Amino acid sequence: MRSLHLYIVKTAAVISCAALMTSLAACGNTSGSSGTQSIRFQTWNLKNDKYTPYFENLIATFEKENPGTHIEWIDQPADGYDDKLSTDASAGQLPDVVNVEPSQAYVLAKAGAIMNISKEDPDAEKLYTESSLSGVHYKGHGFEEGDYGYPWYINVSMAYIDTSLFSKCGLDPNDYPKTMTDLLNQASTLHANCPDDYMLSGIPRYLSTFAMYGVDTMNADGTEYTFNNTKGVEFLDRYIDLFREGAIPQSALNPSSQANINYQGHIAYMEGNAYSVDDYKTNAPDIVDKLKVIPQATNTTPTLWEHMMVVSRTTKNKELSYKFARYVTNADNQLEFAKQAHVFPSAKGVIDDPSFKPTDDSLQSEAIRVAIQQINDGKVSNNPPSFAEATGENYLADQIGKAFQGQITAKEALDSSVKYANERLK
Amino acid sequence: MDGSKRQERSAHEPAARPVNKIETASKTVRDGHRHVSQCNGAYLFVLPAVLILAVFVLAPFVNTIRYAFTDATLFYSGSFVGLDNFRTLLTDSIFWTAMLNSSLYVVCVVPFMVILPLILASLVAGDSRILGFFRTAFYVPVVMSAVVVGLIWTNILDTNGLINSAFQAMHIIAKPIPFLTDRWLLLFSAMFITIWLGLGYYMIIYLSALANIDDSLYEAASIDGAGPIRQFLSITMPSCRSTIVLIMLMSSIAAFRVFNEVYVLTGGSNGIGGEDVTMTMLIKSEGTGLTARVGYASAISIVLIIVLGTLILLQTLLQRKKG
Repeated sequence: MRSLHLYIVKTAAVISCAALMTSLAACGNTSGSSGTQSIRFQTWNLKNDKYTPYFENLIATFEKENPGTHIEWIDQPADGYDDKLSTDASAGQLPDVVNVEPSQAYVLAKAGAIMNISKEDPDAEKLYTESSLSGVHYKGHGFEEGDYGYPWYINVSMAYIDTSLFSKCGLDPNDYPKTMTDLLNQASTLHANCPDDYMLSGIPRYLSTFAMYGVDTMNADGTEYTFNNTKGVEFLDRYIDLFREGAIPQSALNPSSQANINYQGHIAYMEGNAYSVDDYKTNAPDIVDKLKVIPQATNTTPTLWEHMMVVSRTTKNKELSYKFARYVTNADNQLEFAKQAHVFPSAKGVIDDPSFKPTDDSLQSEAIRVAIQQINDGKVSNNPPSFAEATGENYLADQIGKAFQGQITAKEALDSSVKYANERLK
Repeated sequence: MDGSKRQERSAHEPAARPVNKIETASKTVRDGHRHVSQCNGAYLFVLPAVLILAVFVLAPFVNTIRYAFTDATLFYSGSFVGLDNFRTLLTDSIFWTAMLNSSLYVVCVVPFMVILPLILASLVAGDSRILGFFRTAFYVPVVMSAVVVGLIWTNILDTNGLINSAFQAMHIIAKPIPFLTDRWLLLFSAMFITIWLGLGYYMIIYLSALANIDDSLYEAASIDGAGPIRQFLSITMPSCRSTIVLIMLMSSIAAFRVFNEVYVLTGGSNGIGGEDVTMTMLIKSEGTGLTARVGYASAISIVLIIVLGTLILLQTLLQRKKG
C-alpha cells in the first residue's frame, strides 16, 4: 500500500516536473504547431483605459492584414523599466519588439542585445525625419555604427508660466524669458519683488539643461564629456547664487518636494510638455486659468525626447518583428497615437497634418502650437544617450546637490561628475 | 486497527521460537529497505522547499560571493579581480556614507523598537473592547505599504506640508523646517516613519510574551505595594527578556537593511548631495539597471552580510550570557 502510494507520489512529481518544463519551453515565441508566426511586443506603461483600445485595435488590424501572425502584447509598469529590460536582456529573453528611450537603446545596442536596423532593414530610415533618426543612430565605443531602432513618437519640453505671478511681481508676461540667461535674471527680479514666490521650482539635474545654456557637454567626436568647462561652471554658479539669495526655494533640492510645489501657485515658470495640460487641470484647478504656454527658455536649441521601437537580437521571427515595428511606427499609426497622447510624430510628413495646427485658443491647442514650433528647431542629442541615468545622471545630481549646499564648489562638482562619466564611457 | 491485529497475531504465536539467523538477517534487510523508502518519501516531500531554497536563495548567494571577486557588469560575466572591489570600497566615500547612515539607523531605531512596543503592549494587553480597538489601531500601519506610507509622510513633512503649514499658522516657526531637504532631518524623519511602521508588529510579538506571564506575580507585587512602573521594571521586562533579545535582533537587521522609507522621502535619489544613501540603496543603484556594476554591488552585499552576521552573533552571545 505504502509502495503504491509512494509510486503515485513519485509519478505525480515526475509529471509535474515534465509539465513545468513543457510550459517553460512554451514561453518561447517562434511558430506554433498550427504554423502561426508569433512575436512578443512590449510597451512601457501604456496598458490603461486611455491607450489599451488603441493597441488592441492596432494589433488586431495587423493580424488581420497578415494572416497567420500573432502579436502578444506585454506592458511593463513605469517604475523599474530599466531593471526589467536589463533582466530580460541579460537572460536573452528580451521581447521581439520593445519600446525604449535612446539612453536605454544605447546600452542595449552596446551590449549587442538589439538589431542594427540600418543593416537589417536599410529602407526603413527613409520613413522618418532626420532629427528623430539622430536619436537612434549610435557609433563608436566598440559597436557597429547604425540606427538601432525605429523612431516612434517625440516630445518636447515647454514652459507654463503663471501670468498673474508675473504681473504681481513686476514682470511682463508678454515679455517672458526666451533665453536661459533671461530666465535666471528674471528669477532674481521676481523673488526680489515677491519674497514668497519664485520663478523656478528646481535646480539643474540633467545634462540637457546644461546643453540649453550653451554648454558643450561632449567633445565633437563624442568620446569625452566636457561639461566641466568654463561655461558649465558659469551656469552652475549662476544657479547656486540664485539659491543662496533665496530666489530658488529650499524644496528644490528634493525631487519629491519639487513635484508638489508646482501646483501651489507660488512658481511662475513651470516646465512641462504638451500633455501637462491635463495634469494642471486635475492638480491645480486654481491656477490653470492663469497659465500661458511658452517655448522653453534656451540659449541654443530645445531638447527633444524620443521613444522608439527596437528589435531584439534573439528574435526568432526577424522579418515579422521588423514588419510589426515598422507598422507601429508608420505614418498612419503614429498620427493616430499622437492625436490621442498629445505627443508628436517622427514619421516624415505627419507633422503637417491639420491636427497639429489647431486654430482655437485653448491651453491645449496653444501647447501643441508651441511644441510644433520647438520640434522644428529641437535636438535629441542635447541629452547624450550614453549619459544614462544609471551612470551619469544620478552622480551629477548628487554632486550638484553638494555644490548647492556649499560642501564643494561648482567646479569641483562638475570635475568629479565628468571624471565619473568618462570612466564609464570607455 | 493494524496494531490490534498485530497484538492478536502475536498472542497465537509459540512462546519460544528458535531464532533463525537467516530470518533475522532478512528482517534487517527488510527494515533497512523500509527505512530507505521512508527516507525517500521524506526527501520527496522536502524536495520542493529545498529546490526553491536552492534556486532562489542559495544559488544567488553563492553567485553573489563569486561576483564579488569579479568585474562583472550586466552584459559581461566578468573576470577575476581578487580583492579589487573591496579595495575600491575602502576608498569610496559613497560607501562610507551609506555605512554611516545604515549604522546610525540601527543605533537610533533599535532602542525605540525594543522599548516602545513593550510599553504599548503592556498598555493594550487585556480583554476589553476599547483595548482591542487600540491594538487594531496600532497594527494598521503594519499592513500598509511602506511606499504609500512614505508618500503620505512626504506630503506631511514637505516645506508646504501639514506640519510646516500648521506650525507657521500658529506662529511657532517663521521658516519651514527642512525635513526633506536637510541631510540629518531627512534621515531622522525616515527613522521616525520606520518606528511608527514597526510599533504594531513588535507590539503583537510582545503581547504573546505578556500572555505567558503568570498573573499571580503581578498580584503578589501589588500586595507588596509595587506600583505599575515597579511591576513593569521588575516583572514584565525580566519575563520578556528572550523576546526583547529576539526583537532587538529582528529590528537591527531590518534597520540596517532600510530602503523604502529613505528612498521615498528622497524622491528616489540618494538624498541631497547623495548624503542620505543607505547600504541597500547603494546596492540598488550600483547593481540594477542597464549599466549595473554587478561585481561591485556584490562586494557591497558581502559587506552587508558580514555586518548583519556580526550583529546576529553579538546578540546571540549577549542572550547566552544573560541566559
